[in-house]
Amino acid sequence: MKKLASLLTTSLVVAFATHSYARDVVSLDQKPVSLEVTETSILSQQFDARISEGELVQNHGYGSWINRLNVALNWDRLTLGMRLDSSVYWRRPVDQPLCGPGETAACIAPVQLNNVVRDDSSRYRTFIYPAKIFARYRSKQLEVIVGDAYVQFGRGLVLSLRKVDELGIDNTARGAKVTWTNDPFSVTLVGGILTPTRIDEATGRALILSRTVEPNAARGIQGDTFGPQPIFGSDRVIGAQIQAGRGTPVVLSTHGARFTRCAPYRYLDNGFVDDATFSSPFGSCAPSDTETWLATLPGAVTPTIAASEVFLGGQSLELPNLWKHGNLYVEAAVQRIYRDATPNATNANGNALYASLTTNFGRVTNTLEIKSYRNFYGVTGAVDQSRASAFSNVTYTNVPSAELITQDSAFGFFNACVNGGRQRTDYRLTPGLLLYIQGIYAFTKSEIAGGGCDEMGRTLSVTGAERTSNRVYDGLGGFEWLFDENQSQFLAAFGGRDDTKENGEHFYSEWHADYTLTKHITGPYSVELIGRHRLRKEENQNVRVSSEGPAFWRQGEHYTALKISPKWVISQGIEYTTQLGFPTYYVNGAVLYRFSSESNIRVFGGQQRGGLKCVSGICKVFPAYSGARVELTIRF
Amino acid sequence: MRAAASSVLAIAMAIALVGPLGACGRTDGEPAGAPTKAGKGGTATDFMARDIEGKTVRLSDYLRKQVIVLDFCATWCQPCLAELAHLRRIYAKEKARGFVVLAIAMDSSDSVADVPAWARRNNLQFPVLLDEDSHIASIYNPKKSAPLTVLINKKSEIVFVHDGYNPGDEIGLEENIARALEAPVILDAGAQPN
Repeated sequence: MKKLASLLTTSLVVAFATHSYARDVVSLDQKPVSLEVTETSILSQQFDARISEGELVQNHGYGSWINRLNVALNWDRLTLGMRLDSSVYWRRPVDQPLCGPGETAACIAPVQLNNVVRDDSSRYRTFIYPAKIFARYRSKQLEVIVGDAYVQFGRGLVLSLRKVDELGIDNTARGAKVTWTNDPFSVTLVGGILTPTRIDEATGRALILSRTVEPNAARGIQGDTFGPQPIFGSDRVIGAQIQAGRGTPVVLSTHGARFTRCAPYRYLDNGFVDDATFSSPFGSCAPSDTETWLATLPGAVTPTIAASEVFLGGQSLELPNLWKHGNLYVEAAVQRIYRDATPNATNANGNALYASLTTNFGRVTNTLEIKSYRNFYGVTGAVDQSRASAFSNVTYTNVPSAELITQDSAFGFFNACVNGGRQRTDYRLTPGLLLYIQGIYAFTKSEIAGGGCDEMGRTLSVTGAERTSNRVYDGLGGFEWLFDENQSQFLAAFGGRDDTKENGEHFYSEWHADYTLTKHITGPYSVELIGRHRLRKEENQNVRVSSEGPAFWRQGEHYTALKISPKWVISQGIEYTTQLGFPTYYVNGAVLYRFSSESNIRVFGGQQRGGLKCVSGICKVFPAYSGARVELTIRF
Repeated sequence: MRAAASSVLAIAMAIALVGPLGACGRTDGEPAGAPTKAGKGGTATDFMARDIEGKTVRLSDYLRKQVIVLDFCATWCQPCLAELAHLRRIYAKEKARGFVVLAIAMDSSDSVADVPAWARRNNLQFPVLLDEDSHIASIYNPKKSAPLTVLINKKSEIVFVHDGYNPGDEIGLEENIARALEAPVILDAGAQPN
């Protein structure tokens, strides 16, 4: 094992990733059986963490190989599919030597050992499991999936199980999904156990039973009292959607979903869990087990996380074609949270109203979005976030935020109690040049800890309404310019954001500039410059002089690439932040070689800044990366 | 645990070795962007989605009648803008010969509202489908690359797949489309659209 790990370590980082590419392998009843294989492996070796500059010892110098193998067989109307995930780790921080007197590099300080060992209990796990498995039958009007299924009702306020690769999200319902469509009607029924991806590629965290931490007083290690404990529950959903008017000028949709929580294991009288394979393979819904499990979750993280049951219902109205000049979508939803432990709790209800209007007239297009949410929270997966915060983004709904999809400065439960909207206007100046502006306004009562509202929108605040209500203005302007017969493009935007409390206190502000210039030089050669540079200021952050409060900090990245179509991309990047507590500079380089249109190899080495990354209103904190990687992408 | 770790590692290494060999068997020696040999791709799998005008669209509506490009894209995808500009030109040139582009917008709740305006301002004349719950991507684009181009010939075979876009990549795509349009269509006996 050690020899293998050593071999892998010396070969730096290799990531193999292949995309699906169907191939007929045999014929049955004169119909081809098509095989689709998708293989994704990531082999990674981290450099030593820059601990003296604020990086965590828990991320120190480990290596990993994470593998995802998708296989699907299609025959006529049937598909059988499976994704097998596995992970292997080596040189974990807990395996590294303790620092001797005066030593600081490539070792673990004894004072940090307890943190490292406890952190390791839910991290760096070597295991293999079927992440997704399904059988699908489809005909012109009917689709039946048994196993893992993606599903979204409306705009996601009520139910949204989907894949967001950038954040490592891949949620499905493992059970059954039936969709019958015969325009103008469509009915979808879904029910099953909610199944997120259980390995977090960025951190090595795993949603499986934790390792037991054995106490060791001499080394300062606090042990677990009740042995290995679960980190993720057994969440279930049933839902239905009925659409009417598909293909007509007016489409109506009524949808509802009911989420229930069960314990992932049966609890024994001594406080340990019964983790025998066949003891409770789908979890235990016995009230005592569920209550014990939910009591272990940090309920303050989000009101839905420790709820025994969450019910959501919604109704949408869509006019998909406004006389060839746009479309209108309106959706209203209600939410009720129920806790077995506090059945008479107040403020269990919430509601939401979302609308979007798109119009186009000649050279001008507009998109207007309006949101009005009251005590309406995303339904969070039952993850013990004290052990696995990397999975805090496991959510089963996706409430539209009416912000940029990369917006990472809407804090707290920004969208739980909010009124606001976004307006974007585009003007096509020439066939190759587009100008646009965007404005966002929001008034939120739930961005600051301790804030909130009831179902009527009335403020609930433990520290005073003016201290927990924020008014946000966000503006952006830019252009998209295609030239050189569409072989070159220059995209740029400049914008700012101001987020101020009602009592006048500054909470957050930012200026930013973004650009992408891809310039075709000659023949297959082109050069690309991509960058984003931000000037940021946030309450309680970057406080260098306590009497002066928070100071602005600069943060950004710039990447330069030489592209030689269709084979080569050679890039170099620099990232930086002047925020206190983080390393200032991060440099990296990469070479990508495409040996067919379907396959390529990419070698990466260097550092990347960590931080909050958001896609479509869902965010995740990524640790800084410092290491080397080789990525291979093949289709077969 | 040690034995389990070794097993997992062995499986992973085997997959990593078999993967490249599988690909080399088909594409080694071919220049990047070269046409994939027609008939070597598998049969395209049907799907159903709504387009931005609210119409229900099935891939089987086009299979065996037209050469199809599935273009996985999104409003937030910058390289998609340049690639779509080329697809727009190729579509205008070749649609009379039985060529169609199905743009598949992978936007989710936070940006899907902008898809109709995005299609309009970029003058996309072909169908733009919505894939909010990733069910089409799960079939053809599991990693959700954007852009990702999948070319299907008139025999319903996937004959070309291209990940990403760099200036000049449109040359290989256009050659493959032309080849697919020129290829004689000889349907297998008994073969029917899915």
